[in-house]
Amino acid sequence: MVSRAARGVALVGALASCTPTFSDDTSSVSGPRLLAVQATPAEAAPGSAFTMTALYVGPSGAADPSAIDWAICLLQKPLGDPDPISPACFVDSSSGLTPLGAGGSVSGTVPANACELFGPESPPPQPGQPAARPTDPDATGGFYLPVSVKSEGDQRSAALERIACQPSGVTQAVFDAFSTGYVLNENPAVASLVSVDGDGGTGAVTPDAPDAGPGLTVSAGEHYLLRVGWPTCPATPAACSGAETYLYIDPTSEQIATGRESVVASWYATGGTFDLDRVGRDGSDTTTTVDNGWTAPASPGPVHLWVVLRDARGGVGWGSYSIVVGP
Amino acid sequence: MKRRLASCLILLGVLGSTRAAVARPVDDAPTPPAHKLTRAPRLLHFVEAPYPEGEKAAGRAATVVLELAIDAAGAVEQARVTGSAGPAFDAAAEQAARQFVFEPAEIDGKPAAIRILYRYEFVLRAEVPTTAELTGQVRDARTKRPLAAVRVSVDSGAAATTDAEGRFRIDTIAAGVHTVTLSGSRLTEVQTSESLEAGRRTTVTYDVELQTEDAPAGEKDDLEIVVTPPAVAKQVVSTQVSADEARRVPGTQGDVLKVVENLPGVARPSIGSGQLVVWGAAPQDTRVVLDGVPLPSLYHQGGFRSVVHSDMVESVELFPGGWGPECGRGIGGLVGVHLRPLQGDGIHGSASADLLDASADVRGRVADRVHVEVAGRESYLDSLLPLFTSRNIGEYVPIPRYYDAQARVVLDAAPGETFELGGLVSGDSVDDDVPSDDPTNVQLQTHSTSFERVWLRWRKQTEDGAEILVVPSFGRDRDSLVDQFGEVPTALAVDSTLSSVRASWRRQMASWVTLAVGVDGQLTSSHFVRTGSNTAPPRSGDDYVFGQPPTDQIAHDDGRTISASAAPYAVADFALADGKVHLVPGLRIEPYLQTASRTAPPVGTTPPVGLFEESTEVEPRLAGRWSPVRGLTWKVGWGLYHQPPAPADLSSVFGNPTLGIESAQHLLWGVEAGSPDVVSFEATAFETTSRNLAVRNPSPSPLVAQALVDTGIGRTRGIQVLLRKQLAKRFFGWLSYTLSRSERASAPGAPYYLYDFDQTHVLSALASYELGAGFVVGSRFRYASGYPRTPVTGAYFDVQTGTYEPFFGALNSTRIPPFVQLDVRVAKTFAIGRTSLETYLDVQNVTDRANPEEIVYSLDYSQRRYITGLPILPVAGARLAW
Repeated sequence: MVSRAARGVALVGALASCTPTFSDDTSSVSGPRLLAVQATPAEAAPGSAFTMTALYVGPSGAADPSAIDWAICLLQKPLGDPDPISPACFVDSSSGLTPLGAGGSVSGTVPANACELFGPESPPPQPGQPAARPTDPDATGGFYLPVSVKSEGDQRSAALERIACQPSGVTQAVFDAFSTGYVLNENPAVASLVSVDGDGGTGAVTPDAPDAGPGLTVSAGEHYLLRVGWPTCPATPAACSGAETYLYIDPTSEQIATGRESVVASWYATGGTFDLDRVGRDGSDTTTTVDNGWTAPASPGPVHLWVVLRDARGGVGWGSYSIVVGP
Repeated sequence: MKRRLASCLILLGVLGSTRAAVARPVDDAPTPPAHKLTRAPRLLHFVEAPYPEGEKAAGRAATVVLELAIDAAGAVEQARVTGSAGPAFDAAAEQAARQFVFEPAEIDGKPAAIRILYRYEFVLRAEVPTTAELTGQVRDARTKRPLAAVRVSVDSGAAATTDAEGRFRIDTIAAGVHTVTLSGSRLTEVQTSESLEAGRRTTVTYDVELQTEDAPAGEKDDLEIVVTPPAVAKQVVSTQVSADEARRVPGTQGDVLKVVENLPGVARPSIGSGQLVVWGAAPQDTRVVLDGVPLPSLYHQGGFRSVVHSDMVESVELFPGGWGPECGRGIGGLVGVHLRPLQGDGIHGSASADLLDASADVRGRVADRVHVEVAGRESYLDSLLPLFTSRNIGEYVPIPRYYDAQARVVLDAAPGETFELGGLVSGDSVDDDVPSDDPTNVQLQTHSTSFERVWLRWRKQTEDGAEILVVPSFGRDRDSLVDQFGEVPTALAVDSTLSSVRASWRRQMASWVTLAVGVDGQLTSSHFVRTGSNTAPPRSGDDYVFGQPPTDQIAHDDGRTISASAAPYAVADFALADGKVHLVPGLRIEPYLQTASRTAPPVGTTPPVGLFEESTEVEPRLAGRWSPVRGLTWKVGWGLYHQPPAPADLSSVFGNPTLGIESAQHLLWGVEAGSPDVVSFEATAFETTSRNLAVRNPSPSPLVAQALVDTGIGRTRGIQVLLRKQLAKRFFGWLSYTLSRSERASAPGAPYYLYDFDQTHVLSALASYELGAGFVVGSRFRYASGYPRTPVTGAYFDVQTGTYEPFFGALNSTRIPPFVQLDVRVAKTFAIGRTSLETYLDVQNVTDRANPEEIVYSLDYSQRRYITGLPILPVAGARLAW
């Protein structure tokens, strides 16, 4: 794992600066915690309905999500703020919040002016004034509606719904090509989780299901290689729950370009330690699996494990697993 | 100024020395006489040999061993060189020794002839001068023809008579205000007053009216005297360090220009940044000028080396503020680098190498009145490291790569007139890759900079005593930053061409006033291309934590800008009250022309609309000095300063093409006490205020082409002190301390916050001492407050990326802990024939203190620690000079 400090020391420069190490383990689930939010659909046009579902867990597995509060935040963030949403979205009394309700899953509607507030369209200018600066897209050409999430213990999270906005400021030909060729994003899905032994043999880890037994039985203190997989997607834009190919408008050339999503797997467990918190494949890597090591806890007992897949366009999917640690 | 000193010693083969303290043994001593030597000869009259000019210019010391035959009366009958140091040294020593007079030796109690070995040492010592030199010409005021046989005398008793060209020279005059008297045939004795500065040559032209042959006595015309020395306009606060001193400062590895980091008013830069922060100003607000040629930076990336070879440098001078109207386009400090004059015969040079790089300098006279110098440097640390480690250390630690080269040709066209054609190139590149199994966490970075300069410098001292200086220069600057944070690209490239010309004329109009006028013009044409996040790189005022990835929102712009200005200026130095008071008012009027290729971001195929703006900035500047008694000077200074915005800030996407000219006001006052040749003390209080600074548009929904606005303001207040002993009697050192507070605000009326480069306390103490036998030891101690940083008060979870983002406290309301470091330098110089080899060991951070350099956080911001700086780091190097 590359820590934030390691990223930083590169900027410090200089031959022999000493980088501190940290004992944080973001993969460990030791209390109620929001691990991921899945928006359905993963990309929605203004005026469309969407649903947000939380992966809210605790040391015993799924946790009670009834205390999770959701609100659409219509506040734009300052240009110089590197955060994904405005810090004011976390102020409960903020007038920019539109409550969505509470619970593990809530529904709402993408505001009609979302592409003006958070997208490439500028609101009508004031008389005598130039138009407001449109929001810049992300590297995939995407724009996002911020949703503020508050959970137990005043934990704060930021969720985003990708907005399907029409291109702006481009030629008619580019506009037409994008409008007809762009395929809305789909959430990724975990296709498989397997345990790989030293000889390369694999054993499937079955996901949690009602009345199902443990997905995997392991020995205490042993190290295991886990491999998560996702569906293979076509090389042309198409709805797919893997690493999709998509169209975007290159900000440099202002022409249509084709990209392929990266997929990152985040690992969480109530026991044991992972070699890495996050692993993934970038868009140029067509491999549809990625490995991570996990060392089982030293004491026997049940362990809950989650793998969250995130694609580059904001899509989220996950798998939940129960593991029995034997002596 | 360097002053030559010849120390000598006498040594008898069997009897020892009469000056044992400096004696050196000589193995091949003559055979003792058969009779008993009852008294050794004793030197009664010593004659100092003139230091050979060529050797002095080369900075070379030497020892000549002579065999002297002394007769029974004590006269030197014969002098023969037995230990040569080269023809020039040998001849000078031999000639001087022949004029020695001894108290005769006695053998068996009677005066007797004897032969001895005598070691004559030529030692170059840089000493603080206490005397001044007055040179010039006396002319007929009507015909302007030179007058010979005019006696020029100074009230100290020194005098000279003009030669056939009317020229005269009087040296070793005590510094101060003197009465100069001119007398001669057909010339009624006249007097004038001159203020002479220690260590400086004052050149004057006296135009006098002669008595007519037939004029009756008592009806002679009144005499009119025009005195026209070129004088140096006095700066209220500046610190100048000679190359000889600077080279010995611990922690600089012999790099002369790195001494600037130890001067008062200069903040300690973060490790590896190389940024020059003067009086709390932004690094890009301080200007660097190489004898009239503007340079984009003083140091290579990382600050490990300067961009000019040390052997080319005569001195470096820092003006932290309040500088005169000769320079502009900067609202911070000014660093002046002065090149060493090329003189003397022969080919000389040096070669150096240490852990980081190797460099060489060669200079000499290649034809009559033509001197050439070529120098260069190349780093090799990136090539060396793989020899010692199998790890790809460059993955986590960026290794700087740099080079620079300089060349110049100097033609002494006529007495007082020189042409110099010079050029300089410099390049840097740093690659920095942070690999990761998480594609959103990969970081790739390449930062490359380079610049070139070509200049022509014409300097002429006219017959009327004025000095004319014209320096046209041309150059190109390139800066390219290519960065990839995960899937967020950042690319910023700026390519600028600069044409500049500086022309000045300076003349003493009367004994009490000197006038300088000139014009300083510059045309900068820039092309910038920027792609990526608006928040990378971060700007002052941003809520930002070190190492935090930029926002993933990206944009692109490709634009061109032109900034042009030609500023006429004038400055006068009024010497009042017998030179005790100097008032130096100046005025610079700078009309700026700015163009930008786009007023709005590109939209489809819509043609871009450009922008042209003009503004004229008036910059009055005033300096004053009052010396009520010798050794005490009160000083005050005030001035207005302006600079155009950075080219990339005029982007219609990332900046604002209508940004105005940034401005600042400097106000300072202080006192100097003591004698420069013993110990001097300076204290200066200062206040700078700035406005029209480019800052982020605070609006969450700024208008198009207004990502930046020029509403920023700033202020810095502080005091700096300098206790200094210049190089003399083997020792130099200084203690500098600066107490300051630098603040910024996004707009008038907005709350001030501590500026990113604020350092409350900066203390530097350094000393260097020549132990003898070629050994020099030195030490440097530094203490500096840490830079302000914005604290993190918590974090939230970004469920889209699965990472944490910080909640910030008040902007810049915490600090990195202070920096404390002790460095030591030991050097030994060996004389090998006509060459000298200096070896040194520069040990940084001898106490191995872990100095915090930056604050870093764990991934979820729950833990906070520090990146610490260099551990104990010995750097060995060598320098061969001939």
